[in-house]
Amino acid sequence: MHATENTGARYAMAIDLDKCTGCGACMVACAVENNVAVPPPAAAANRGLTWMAVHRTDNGQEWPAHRPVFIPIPCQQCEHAPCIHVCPVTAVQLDESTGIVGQVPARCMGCRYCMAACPYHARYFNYFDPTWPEGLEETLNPDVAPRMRGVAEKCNFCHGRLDRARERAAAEGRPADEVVAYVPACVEACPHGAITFGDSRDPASPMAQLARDPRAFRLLEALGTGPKVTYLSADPAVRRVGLSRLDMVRGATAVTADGAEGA
Amino acid sequence: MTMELTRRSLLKFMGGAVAGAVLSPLPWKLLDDASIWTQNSSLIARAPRGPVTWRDTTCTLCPVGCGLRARLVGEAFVSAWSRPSHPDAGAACPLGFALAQMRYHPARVRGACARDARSAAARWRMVDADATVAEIGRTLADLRAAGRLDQMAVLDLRPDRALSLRYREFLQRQGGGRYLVAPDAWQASAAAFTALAGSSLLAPAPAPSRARAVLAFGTPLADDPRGLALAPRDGSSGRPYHIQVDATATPTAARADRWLPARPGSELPLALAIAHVLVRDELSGDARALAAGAGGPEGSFAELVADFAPERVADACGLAPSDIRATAHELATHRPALVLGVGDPGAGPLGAEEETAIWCLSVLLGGPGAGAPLALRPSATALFGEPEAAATALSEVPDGSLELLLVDGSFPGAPLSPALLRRKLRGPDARIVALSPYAGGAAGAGADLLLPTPAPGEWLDDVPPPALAPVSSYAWSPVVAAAPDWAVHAADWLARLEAASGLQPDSADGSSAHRAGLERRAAALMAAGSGEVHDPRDGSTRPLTSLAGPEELVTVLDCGGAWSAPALATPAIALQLPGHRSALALRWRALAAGRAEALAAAGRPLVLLPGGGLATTGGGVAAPVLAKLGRESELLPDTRTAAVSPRTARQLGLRAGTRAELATAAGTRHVDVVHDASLPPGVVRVATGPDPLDLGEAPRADAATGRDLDVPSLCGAADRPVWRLAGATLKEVRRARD
Repeated sequence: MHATENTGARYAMAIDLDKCTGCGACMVACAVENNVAVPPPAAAANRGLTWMAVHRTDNGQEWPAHRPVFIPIPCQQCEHAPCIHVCPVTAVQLDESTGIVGQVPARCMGCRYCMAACPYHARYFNYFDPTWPEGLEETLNPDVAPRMRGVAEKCNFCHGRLDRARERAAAEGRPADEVVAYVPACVEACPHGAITFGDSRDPASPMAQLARDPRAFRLLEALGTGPKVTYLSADPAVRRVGLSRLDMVRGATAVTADGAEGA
Repeated sequence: MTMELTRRSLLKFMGGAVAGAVLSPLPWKLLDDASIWTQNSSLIARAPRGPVTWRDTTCTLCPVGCGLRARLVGEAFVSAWSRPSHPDAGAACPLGFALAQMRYHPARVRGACARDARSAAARWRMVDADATVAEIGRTLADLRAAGRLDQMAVLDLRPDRALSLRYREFLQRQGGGRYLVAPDAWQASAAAFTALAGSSLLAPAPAPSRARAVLAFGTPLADDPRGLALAPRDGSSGRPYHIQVDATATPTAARADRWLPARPGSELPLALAIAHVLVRDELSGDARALAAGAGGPEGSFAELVADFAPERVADACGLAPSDIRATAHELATHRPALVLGVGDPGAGPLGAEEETAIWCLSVLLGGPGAGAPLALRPSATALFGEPEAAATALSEVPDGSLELLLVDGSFPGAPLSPALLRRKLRGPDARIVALSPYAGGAAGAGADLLLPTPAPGEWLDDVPPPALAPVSSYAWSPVVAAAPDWAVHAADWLARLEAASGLQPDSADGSSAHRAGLERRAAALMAAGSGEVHDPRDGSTRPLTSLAGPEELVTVLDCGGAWSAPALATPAIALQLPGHRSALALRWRALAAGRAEALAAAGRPLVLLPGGGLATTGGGVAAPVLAKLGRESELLPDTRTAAVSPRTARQLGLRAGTRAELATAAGTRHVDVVHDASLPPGVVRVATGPDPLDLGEAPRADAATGRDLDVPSLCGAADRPVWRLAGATLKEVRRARD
């Protein structure tokens, strides 16, 4: 259905979990860049819109053997995205020229099939009208339209920044089909340099090199969704969580070094 | 042929028309228009429009002063981003990325406000600014006439700035008054070293990149903006072997090569026990440096630590004696090593005795000296050639001694107990006046009167080198967005207060005088002629001497540039232990056992550990977007959540989500219980703030009744300068119906 042509770019991201300290800079930068509203104070915690969500998990041991681990999970921009297949109104599309899975709010009818289909829980629903404290609309990014109540949304690798990069390229007279370089907000914000972004089809790019790193793995890789976000960790327990037990990053349980569920 | 219109044919025609319309593009057009209409609903906020421009500035939300690039759309300050070409290599934290939102924080006041702060449920009300200034001016004049100026004080939450000089000048012109500081954990650590060095002209400049090993006593090297500034970056020459002492499994501890899970409050005996092993096993050749200067018949540093054998302090530290010995030998093997204190900055200062012992340990292992990991740099006073002036710690001011307290609120994140401020007041007519943009945070929380100042990003401030910075640095925070009319520069408020008190101010325009002070500092740097300048206009970094003169340095700083200079190439200096050695030995001995004993004496089964929220310094106001960290992740604990280990929770019968009352000797606070396996048994941890759930909404029911103490007060911050531990109980209470 979405046959991958070997043309254009395949923007991809690599997140080094051994460097991530869970500071939350990526979450804040993402929300600022993409006009993500803060839900009302009385709203349940799972009603939030967190395009970049940093989950805390651990090795399943209690103090003093306890070790916290932070796993940032944006949309994985799957090459074979389940959310695309289940959307009844084609509100989700894979851009063949970039590999980015885009969400079209104007088409979304709010059925939330995509949220049910996403194995990474990386999609969010606007349960409320997007509101900001008085005056705060003055800090909205004009490159990104605020979404309305009743539609799903998710990370799009900062498509507004891609558009700006393309505008600059066009203004400089570069060819329209040229792959432009840009960085999403989370990449720019990470104070530890834990997030790398680039065209994975460019063999000289750091992304291509990181994909070959022996520490590299992709979340729930066996599902065959083809995520474009690569994770790096030297800790086998962390790799095991990412590869097969993603439910453990939701706080209820954690994984031990031998893969058994912890307390 | 006749066309007869029958009821049946009419219905057929209408049915056909409807069916045809459904198959036509019309319904899809209507759906499309409807969805477009919803996108343009009046309920959806409109982003500003206009040309995009960028202005370089410096973050003032904490003392680190990261370089920021402000994005403006038209005149609207939309967002702030880090600056990779800045000397800080593009470091910034969530606070900085949310800087633009601080202008519109719901807690921001829009004019002079007043309340009766003695009541916890008191609400702010707008008052006439001129009348308020006149009232404060009369109080100043009365105090001056009665010769009671010692009952007036200014509390500067961010000392060493040019504005700090304005506060001192204000006091001098009044003819007296006290200049107070409330040092945070980083400043307190630096102050302990200054006392050890015996000179206020020198400041410690620890450089982990020059160490082969780092021993950190709770220093948040991985999860605090100031810790990040200290942590060696990738690409620096070799990562030092890192040993972290932390009571809990923090992210920094998880990333250390070795974690020592010491008992809360055992920093002093542990540091002295490691020093004991170093001296006893002759693993350090620098013990003589500590003996020099303070010598006399009372013996050497070796005698001071003789009582702290690992076997004696192991129980107090919660560690095996072999662990302590192994740590000492590891550090000796990896000399030169750097030892850092500070602890969790959200929990207030570590304590002067602890910091002194930790610095002594650092001296034993490799500094200070040229090329040593513990280097020196000039203090702010020495850097700008300004006269030395004494500052009094807030904790040293007697209770009930102040009639008027002005609090500078330009650092919204200082962890400060409002109860501590209130205790310093003399009587019912005494007032705390906050010069702050927010009705909350460190300055506004305990104030009676609030004079609104510009928000961060709206006024020109300077950023002197932060405490424990590896290098000397200096920058300004150029204005990126105009302040509203009702927000008045703090220096202008001072000028108006001077006039209202019957004095003739030097200049009616206080902000111009402040600007002149900034330019004098730039001229002093230029006159010294050392260091280099980052010029954001072309992204270059070049020697200061390449600038044409002070005017060009002012231009560079006005553009968001930064000056920096490496630490001094100072040879080893003799450090002098503060006070009489025998008295020090007695204090060390008492405190080594005292923290734990005090907790035991409190008769409460739990130890309350206050802590800063992640990437914050605690106590301030959080930008609305930081609520995402608090509400939608586990990254920023809020001040109404108490974490206990699963084992302790089982013992107490507290399920996750249980509403409970946390009680200490100081009072109570209602909290929601969460289980956290990173905590040791018997410990309950609560964040001091900022509260990411508090966006300026109406106070919660518990707060309105006055039954809930703020976290620093709950830990006893109003009674003692070191409030990192408190005995506590945690009991389930029935959840109130909302």
